Amino acid sequence: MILYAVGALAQAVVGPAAEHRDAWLFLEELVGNLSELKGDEAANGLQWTYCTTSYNPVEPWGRDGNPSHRNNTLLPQLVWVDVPVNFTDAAVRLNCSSAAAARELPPPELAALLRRRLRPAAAGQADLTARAGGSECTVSKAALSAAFSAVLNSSNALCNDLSAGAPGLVGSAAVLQAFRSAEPPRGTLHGLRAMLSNSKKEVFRARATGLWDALMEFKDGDLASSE
Amino acid sequence: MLRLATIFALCAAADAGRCACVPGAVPPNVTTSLAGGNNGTVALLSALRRVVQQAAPCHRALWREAFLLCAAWEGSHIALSRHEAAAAQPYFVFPTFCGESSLASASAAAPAPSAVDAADPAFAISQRPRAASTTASTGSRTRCGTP
Repeated sequence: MILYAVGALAQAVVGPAAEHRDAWLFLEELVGNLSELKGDEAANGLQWTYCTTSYNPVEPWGRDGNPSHRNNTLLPQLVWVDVPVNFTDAAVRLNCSSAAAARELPPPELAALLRRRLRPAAAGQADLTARAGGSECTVSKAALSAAFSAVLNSSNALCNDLSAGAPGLVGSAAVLQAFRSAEPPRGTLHGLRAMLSNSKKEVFRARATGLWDALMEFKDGDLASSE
Repeated sequence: MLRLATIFALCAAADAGRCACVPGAVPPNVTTSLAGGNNGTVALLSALRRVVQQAAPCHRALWREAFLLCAAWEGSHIALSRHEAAAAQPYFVFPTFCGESSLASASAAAPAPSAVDAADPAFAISQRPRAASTTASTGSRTRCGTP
């Protein structure tokens, strides 16, 4: 979402990525890194937790004694060094028309939903997860089940195959080997790049595209028109 | 949003590593970070779907590239958490915020449960052994010890 929103903004303000790659990249890196810092502060250790390891140590600015920073590790921040590069390169390659950029910006409805994710729930607001336990949790589970049912088996299988290192995929053993090929932060960056290299593997792209199409409810005709 | 969507899409049966998990009080902001909860995630997916379906073909392709990058990252580190679940250096856990029982039964000897598990229909699909879940509403959860 951030990648796309910043890209659409960059395209509307400075022009196509093909002609303004550096400006695009600067904006993607800036907003992406700031969003990760904000996101980790709000949710790391709550919605997910990174465990510090020899290859993914606590980020240097996480050693300030603030309890909310203690599970902030280097890897998720480094993601925002490399992902913007990959995304900007994709934008350069696709070279979409800037004429449509403004209307491609996420609409206010989506922005409002995103803002609400990180805002305290108002009294009485339906928040099935926060009021978890018992029947409400069952309702929450059912809501996710309905929304993601189309991809559950295939995404589970993809994660298993990544873990096992199935043919055509960069598996976890190779990722770990990259992590341990050098001391952090260089080794951390190597491991991250091994992870992201899957996005260029044909096998991975085909399977992940299947997940995307199912989530977006694309049909064959939609697929062809987006190529 | 893409990150949230891919987390939920790819965490179908996300295993949690044992992360030297220790009991900890749920900080007041836990409900803040979860505002909207799973129903909020569903709403986001629905809104994103409308935006992408209405996008021009080229921009739709750019959305897909963003998803592929996000999936490579999220999928690989969920895979790594499965790969490392029994290792000395667990990588990644989802602390549970949606469950039924107390933290006491989620001992360090058992894999920590996944946050997504309890709200995750794939829980039934995977049939993997899991520790009992914890719940935010009872004021307990698992988290990593101080690094």
